[in-house]
Amino acid sequence: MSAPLSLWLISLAFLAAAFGLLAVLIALRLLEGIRLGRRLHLADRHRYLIHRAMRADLPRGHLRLHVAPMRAFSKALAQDPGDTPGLLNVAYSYTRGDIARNFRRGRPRRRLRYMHVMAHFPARNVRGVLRRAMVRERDPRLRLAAAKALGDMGALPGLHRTLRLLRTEGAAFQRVLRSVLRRLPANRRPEVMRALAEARCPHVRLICVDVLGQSGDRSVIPSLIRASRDADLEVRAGAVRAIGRLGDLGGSRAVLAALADPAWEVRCQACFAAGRLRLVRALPALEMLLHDRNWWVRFRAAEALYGIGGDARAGLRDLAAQPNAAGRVAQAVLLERDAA
Amino acid sequence: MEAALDALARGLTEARLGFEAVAPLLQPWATVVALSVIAVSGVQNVIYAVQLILAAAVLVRRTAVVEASALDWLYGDVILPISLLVPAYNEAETIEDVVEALLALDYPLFEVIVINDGSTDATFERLRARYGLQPSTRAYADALPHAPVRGVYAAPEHPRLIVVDKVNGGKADALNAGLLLARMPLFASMDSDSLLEGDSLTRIVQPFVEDPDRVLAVGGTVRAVNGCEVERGQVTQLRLPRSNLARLQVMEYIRAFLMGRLGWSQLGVLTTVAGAFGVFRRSAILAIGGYRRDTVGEDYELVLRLHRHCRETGRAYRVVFVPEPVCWTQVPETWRGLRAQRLRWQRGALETFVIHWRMLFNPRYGRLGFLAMGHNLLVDVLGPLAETLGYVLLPFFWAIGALDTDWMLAFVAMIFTFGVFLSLGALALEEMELKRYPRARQLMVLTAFAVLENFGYRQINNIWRIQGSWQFLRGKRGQWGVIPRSAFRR
Repeated sequence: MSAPLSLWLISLAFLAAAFGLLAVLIALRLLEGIRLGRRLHLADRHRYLIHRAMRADLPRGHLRLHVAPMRAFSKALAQDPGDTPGLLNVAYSYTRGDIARNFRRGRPRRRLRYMHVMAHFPARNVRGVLRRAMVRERDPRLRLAAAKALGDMGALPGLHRTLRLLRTEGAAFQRVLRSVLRRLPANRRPEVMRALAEARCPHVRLICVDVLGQSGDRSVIPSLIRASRDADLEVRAGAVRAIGRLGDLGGSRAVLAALADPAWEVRCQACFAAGRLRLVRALPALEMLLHDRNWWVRFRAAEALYGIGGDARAGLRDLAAQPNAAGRVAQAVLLERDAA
Repeated sequence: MEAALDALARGLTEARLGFEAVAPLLQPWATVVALSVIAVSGVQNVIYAVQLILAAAVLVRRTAVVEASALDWLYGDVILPISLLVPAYNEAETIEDVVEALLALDYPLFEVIVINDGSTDATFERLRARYGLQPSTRAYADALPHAPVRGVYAAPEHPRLIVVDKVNGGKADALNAGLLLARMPLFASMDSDSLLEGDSLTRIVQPFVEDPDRVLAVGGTVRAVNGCEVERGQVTQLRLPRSNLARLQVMEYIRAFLMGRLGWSQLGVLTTVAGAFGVFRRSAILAIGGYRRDTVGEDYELVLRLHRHCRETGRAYRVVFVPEPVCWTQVPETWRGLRAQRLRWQRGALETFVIHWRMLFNPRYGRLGFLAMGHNLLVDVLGPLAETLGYVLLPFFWAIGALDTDWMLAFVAMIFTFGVFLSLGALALEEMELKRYPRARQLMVLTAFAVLENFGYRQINNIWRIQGSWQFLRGKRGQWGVIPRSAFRR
C-alpha cells in the first residue's frame, strides 16, 4: 500500500472513531434527558411528601424515612431556635453517609463542592474529613478549600500548622491563602505576631501583615510598625496600609517614615495611610510628594491632602495654580473630588 | 445518477486523451505540488491534533469550580477590582443593552468605561439619555497616545459607569484612552456588541488570584449569542442561531477556543486573547506602551508584544486561557459582514506577524518562536495559499492523468477527512466537559455543522484570507470593521 493511500485510510479510521464517539455522546444525552424527566418527577413527588408531612398526614410507609429527621429537627428547634449550627448538624447527621461516600468517590470538582457544603456543618467528624483533605489532596485549590471550610467553622489548626499542611510555597495561591488565614481565631493572634517577627520567608510575613491588618485589633500596631521597616517592599507596603486601615495614631511615626521610603509602592501606601489617619504632621512630606517622579505617588499624595482637609486642602488649591506636574495632579484631584 | 457517473467518466477520459502528451511531463511537477500542499496541511493537522489532545488533558484534569456559589465562597473575598473597557463606534443598536448587562454583573468591585470613539450615529446620545450623563472629571496620567478626549461623563445614579467621548481614532486608540482612565489593577477589553455571563468576571479573575505575580493576561471563551434569548443583558435560553451561516460560526468558535487556545495556553504559548473578552494586568500593559494604533489586529499584537517584552526582560509570566467564563457576542449573519470581519482579521494577523517576524524560529523566544509563531506562519501566511493552490491544481492534475488517485485521496484526507475529524473532536470535548448546549437535538445539529463547515465554508474563508493578504500587501489599513448589528433577541 502506498504512503498517500495509507494516509487516506488512517484519516478514515480517525473519522469513523470521531463519529462513533459523537454518536455515543448523543445517545448518552438522550438517555440523560429521559432520566432528568424521571428525576424531576421524583422531585415533584418529594416536594409533595414534604408538604403532606408538614400537614402531619404523611402516608404510613414513609414514616421511617421522613419523620425521624423531622422529629430530630423539631426537637433541636425546641431546645434553641437560634442554634443554626445545631440544626445544620441534625441535617448533616441524616445525610453524612451520602456526603462522605460521594466525597471519597467524586472527581476533584465534586469534592470541592462537598467541601463548600461541609463548611456549614461544624460537626467533629466533618472537621476530621476536612483536615484529612488538607493533608491528602494533591490540588492546592482543594487543600485551600478544605482549610477555608475549617476556617468558616473557626477550626483552623493554627498558622504554622496550616501553612505546613497547605504546602503552597511561592507566590501562587498567596491571595487565597491570606483570605483563609484571616479566619484564624483571635486567640491565635500572638502566634501570627511572632511569625511576623521571625519568619524568614517574605510570603509568610506578608500573610501575617494581612491577617493582623484585617483583625481590627489595635494591639497589633507595634508588630506592624516593626514590619514597616522590613527588607521586603511588599511587606513594608502591606504594613503601612494595614496601619492606615486600623486607623490608630500609634502608627503615625511609621507612616511618616514610610513617606520617604525609596520604593514608590510604599510611598503610595503611606500617602493612603496618612490620609486615613488625617496626619497633619505629614503635610510637608505630602506636599513634597506632589513632586514625586511617580504619577501614582503624586496622585495619592494629593488625595491624602484633600482627605486631611482644612489647611491641607487650602494648600492643595494654591498648588493647583502652578503650571507643573504637582499643579496638574492637584487640579485633577480637586476637580474630581469637588465634583463628587 | 448512473448517467451522471458515466458522463463524468467519459469527460475524464476525454480530458486525459486531450492532455495525453503533456501529462507525463507534468507528472513530476504535479507530485511536487501535491507533496507540498499535503505537507503544509499535514503539519497544520498535526498541530491541531496536538492542541486537541492537550485541551482534552487539561479539561479532564482541572479542578473547575462549577457552581457559582462555591466560586464565590472560595474566591469571593480575594477577587481583584477590574475596569471593563468598552470601545464603541456606531453601536447605537446594542450599546444600551450591553451597558445595562455590564452594570448588572455579579462582581463586587468593577467599573465600566465606555469609550465612544467619535461615533457618527446616536451611540453617545442614547447613553446620555438613558443614564443622564453629566460632565465629570477624572484625573489620569496622559501616558499613552490617543486622539483628543472631548469629554468624560459620569452617571449620577450609576457610580460605576464612566463614558468617555473622544475624537475617532480606531479601536486601539479608544482602548488606550480607556486604559488611562481606568483605576483598577486589572482591565478587561470588551466589544460593544457582547454580553458577559453573570459570574464570568469571578471566573476569569481566578488565575490572577491564584498566581498574582506571574499571570498578566487571561482570555475567556467567546460564543455566538445569535438565536439565544436575552433578558436584562443575560442569556436566559441557550439556542442555536437560525441562520446557517451563524451556526457554522458557532462550530468554528468552539473549535478555535476550546481546542486552539486551551492547547496553546497549556504550553505557555497562547498568543491570542480575544478582543471581545480578555483581562489584563493594567500595569503590565502600561509598561509596554498600551495598544498599538497602527494595526487592526490590536488584541493579537498586544499579547504577542507582552510575550516578547517578558521574554526579553526575563520576567516570569503567564498568559492563560480559561474555558468557563463566557462572553456572548453577535456573529455576522450575512456573507458581506462576515467577509469584512475576516478580511480585517487576516490583515491584522499579517500586520502583527510582520511587526514581530524576528521572533519566528528565534531560539531566544523558546517555544513561542517555534510553536506559536511557526503555527501563525502556517495558518496565516502559507496555509491559505497552499490549500487554495491544492483546490485548483490537484483536481486538474488528477483529471488529466498527471497525478495518481492515491495522491488525490491523500489531499482529500488532509483537507476534508482530518478537518471533519478535528471539528468533531472539539465538539466531543465540549460535550464531555462543558455541556453548554442543553438539548440532544442541538448536539446533533452541531455535529452536522461540524461536517458541513469543511465543505464550502472553509474554502470561502481561505479565499477571504488570500484577499485579506492581498489588501495587506497593497497597504490597506482599516480602522473599525463595519459589521451590521441588530438588537439582542428578547
